[in-house]
Amino acid sequence: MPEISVDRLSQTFGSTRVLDEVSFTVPDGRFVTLLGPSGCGKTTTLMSIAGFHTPQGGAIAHGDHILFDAARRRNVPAEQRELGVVFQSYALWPHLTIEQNVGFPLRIRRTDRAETRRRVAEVLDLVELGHRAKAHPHELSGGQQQRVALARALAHGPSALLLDEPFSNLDAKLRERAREWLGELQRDLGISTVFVTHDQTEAMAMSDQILVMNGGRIVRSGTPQEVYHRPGSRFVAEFLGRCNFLTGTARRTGPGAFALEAPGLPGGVPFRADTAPPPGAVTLAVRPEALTLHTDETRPGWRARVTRTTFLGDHYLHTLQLGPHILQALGTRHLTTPAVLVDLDAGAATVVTDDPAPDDTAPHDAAPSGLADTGPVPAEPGPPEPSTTSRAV
Amino acid sequence: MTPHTLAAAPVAPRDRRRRLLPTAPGQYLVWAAVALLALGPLVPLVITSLLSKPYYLPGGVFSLDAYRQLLADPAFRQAALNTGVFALTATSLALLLGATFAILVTRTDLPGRRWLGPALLAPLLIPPLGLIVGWESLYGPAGYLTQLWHKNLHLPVWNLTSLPGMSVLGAVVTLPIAYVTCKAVLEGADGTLEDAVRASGGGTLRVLRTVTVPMLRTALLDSGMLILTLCLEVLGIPLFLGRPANIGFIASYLYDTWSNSVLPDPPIVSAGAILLLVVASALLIVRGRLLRHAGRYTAGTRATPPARLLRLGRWRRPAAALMAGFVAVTCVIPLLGLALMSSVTDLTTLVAPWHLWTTTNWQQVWDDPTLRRAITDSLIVASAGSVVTVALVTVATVIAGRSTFRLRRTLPALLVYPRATPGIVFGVGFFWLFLIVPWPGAMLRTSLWGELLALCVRNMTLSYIILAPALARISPELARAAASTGAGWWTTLRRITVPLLRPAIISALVLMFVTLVSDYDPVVFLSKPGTELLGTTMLQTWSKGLPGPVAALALIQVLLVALALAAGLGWTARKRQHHA
Repeated sequence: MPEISVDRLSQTFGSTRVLDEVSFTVPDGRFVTLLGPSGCGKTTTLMSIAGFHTPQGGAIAHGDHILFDAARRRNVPAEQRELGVVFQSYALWPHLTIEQNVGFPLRIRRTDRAETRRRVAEVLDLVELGHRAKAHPHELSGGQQQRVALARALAHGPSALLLDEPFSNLDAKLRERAREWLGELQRDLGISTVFVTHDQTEAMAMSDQILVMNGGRIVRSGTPQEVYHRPGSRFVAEFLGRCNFLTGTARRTGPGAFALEAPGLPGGVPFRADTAPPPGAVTLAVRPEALTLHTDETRPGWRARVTRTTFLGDHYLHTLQLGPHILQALGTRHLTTPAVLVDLDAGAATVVTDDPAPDDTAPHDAAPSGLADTGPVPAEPGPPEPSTTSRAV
Repeated sequence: MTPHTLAAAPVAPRDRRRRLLPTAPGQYLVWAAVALLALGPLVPLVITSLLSKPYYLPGGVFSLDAYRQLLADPAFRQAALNTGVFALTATSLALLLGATFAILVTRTDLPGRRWLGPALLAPLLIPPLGLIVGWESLYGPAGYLTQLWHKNLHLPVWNLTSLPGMSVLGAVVTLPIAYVTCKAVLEGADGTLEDAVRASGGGTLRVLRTVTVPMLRTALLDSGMLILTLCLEVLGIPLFLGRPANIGFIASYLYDTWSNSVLPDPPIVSAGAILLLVVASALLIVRGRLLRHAGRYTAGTRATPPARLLRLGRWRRPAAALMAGFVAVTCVIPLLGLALMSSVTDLTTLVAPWHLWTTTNWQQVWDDPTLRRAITDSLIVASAGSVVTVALVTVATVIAGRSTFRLRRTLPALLVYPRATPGIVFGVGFFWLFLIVPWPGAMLRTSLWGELLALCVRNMTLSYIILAPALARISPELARAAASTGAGWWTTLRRITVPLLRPAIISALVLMFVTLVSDYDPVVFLSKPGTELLGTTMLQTWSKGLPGPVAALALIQVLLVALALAAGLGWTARKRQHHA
């Protein structure tokens, strides 16, 4: 199955840039997710691939088949694009039975009766709904409707699957099950899939590749691990989960190794970067689970005070006062004393830029993960930085 | 979940799609049909109004004489003044009553409001000529109840054939528009606003004064402009009630000029029609302007009924009685009067009706080929017309709402405008169109199809206003889903959108049938011996001084309307049962 390539899609409504040079490729058989807050352009991008939205500029190709090219005024109508689409509302036709819904793509292709019947049964079995073939959509539960929508999208054998927030109408428990099930099905079928969601857990659990979008552009792309651990920008770091930000000045400590100097963090926060950070304020992102709390004075760590602890079921969220900084840390144990030492996992701190600039789209802008181990040692405090700010999220 | 049996992606079955109808040409065809039908009659109207002689006479030159002549005619000035007074009085009365009834039905604990509400809509469905004849026969100067009141009870009497009298009837006919608009606003409004007044200590009157009535301001403006436009073009009321008292309206002035002119088809009628059209269009533009910011006056929240209905207290029963009395006096009794009049030789208080019992009127309807033809022709027009119109308007509505067709945004205006145009303007326009365009004009002019066309075009708006909101309620994703599976636009229309619109299509069919049976003003200039319709035949028979057969024909109209409504309701009920 051929790859889908999207090249510099752009669209403005008035003065708002809805799509700003959106380019990406969906490799054959891969699961690619467009992730972003509402209004970031992810659904517009998906609908442009499906053929329901005509961007002002750019091109979309599916293998050798050019679906859209603004420069050459080429725009293949949606019905000729041979893609499978699952809509957010599922869009099951209420006046047709499940069987007729799934058989519709075959019926309009004038497939003969016997083959249609066989094929509908096959696809319905695939989504485990063979026994509900005669039911009407309103008689099915949300999860079942979602699977029928998927069966209908697959019935005519599309070469790619486009999913527009298909789980957003399911409750949390069902969503998790549907997620696993869809991921498994996609891998088995080996069908290239573009998935749109605003739920970062969903995106990380399912995707081969995540494209984080904001304000009409792709601000970060990579595997779920890359995007989570090396967000590249403050926006991506915040969007993908809880994150602490530390701002200070960088000091070079070795080849590719630096330390962030900030008050209350004696010895600085070590981090790695391929290129030296620009002079001036530098912001580091630190995930709460990368901070380890302990009371062992023999081990390294910054002195901190726990100001609040929230019980979250499978772990505790501690709010720490660390000099002028307020940080959040995740732990599995309840702490008995408010005075703790905070240790940072090696290589967990990464430089982020404050606002998503165009160069953020480069997929590998942050340091590689094998990071030299220089733990934070209480040593001589760095020069105080009056402009230092820090924020815990 | 069980492991999947298919290891590889399913192979696509062979594509045997036939591309029967390319999308755009078909859409252009529908658009062209709508544009031609809606705008076609206007062009000849403008041309003929600017000629010095009727179009077919040689030697006609461009001139504004027709307009000059019209404006100089004292009879026309008087008619214009009468129309203005009538329209303003009727509109104010209709708004006052409509809003009051809407508040009573939606916001108070009025007993019996479940059936009083729908009963108020009756004048929309009762054929207008039937209602006018019923009123005339009972409440007219020589009417049965007037006589009973005046001669037998010696009480002061009203005069229906005066401007105030006609205004009352005009208000009764147009009141449902104000009622429906206000009711929709009240039902869609946030009832907690009223609860908030109550919570801060306000009583019933304060709730009404501070929230409920101000909330209706836009609805009153909206429906008021609409009613005013409708009142300007009223033809039946002046023809039946105004003529004996010599009170002319613009519409009846044009009708009389047309019928009595020495020179057939005078340009002055075209000029008058154009003036009427200009005024009506101006009113609609003003209405659009005034309502531009209507969104500002509506609460953006979800509609919630107020926690408690307003208590009418000891006024509960009197209010309900008054409302029921209103429905009875305005609709029920006139229909009974029609029935009585169609069954007696003469409706008079001097002799008891059962002594005058006769079947002559009904016999005449059966025997007279003209009257019988009026019924069959009306049936043909209503059945064929409703089907064809609804089919065309359905496709046009879906193009307007669910396509990428280049000119789709012009369609709503084209579909709404015919009904906003005065009916007789359309009639004159079509007359000239058929005369000026020899093919197929000549064929249409001499057959029933010309009348059918005029009636259908004039009323296609009604189908649109039912279908458009219904289409808006269907998620656009349903049509997109069809396209994503490979269906072309026309296939999606046929297989998905039209089946989903079915309930609205049935309603539109019923409404079109009902309207085509009772509407008459677009065809008064088109009717000719051999192609009579119910409405025009009733006008002619009435002017011959034969009220009995007219009452019988009116009852037949009412019967046809009732049958169509019953069929529509029956279908809906069966569907609902099927789904339950």
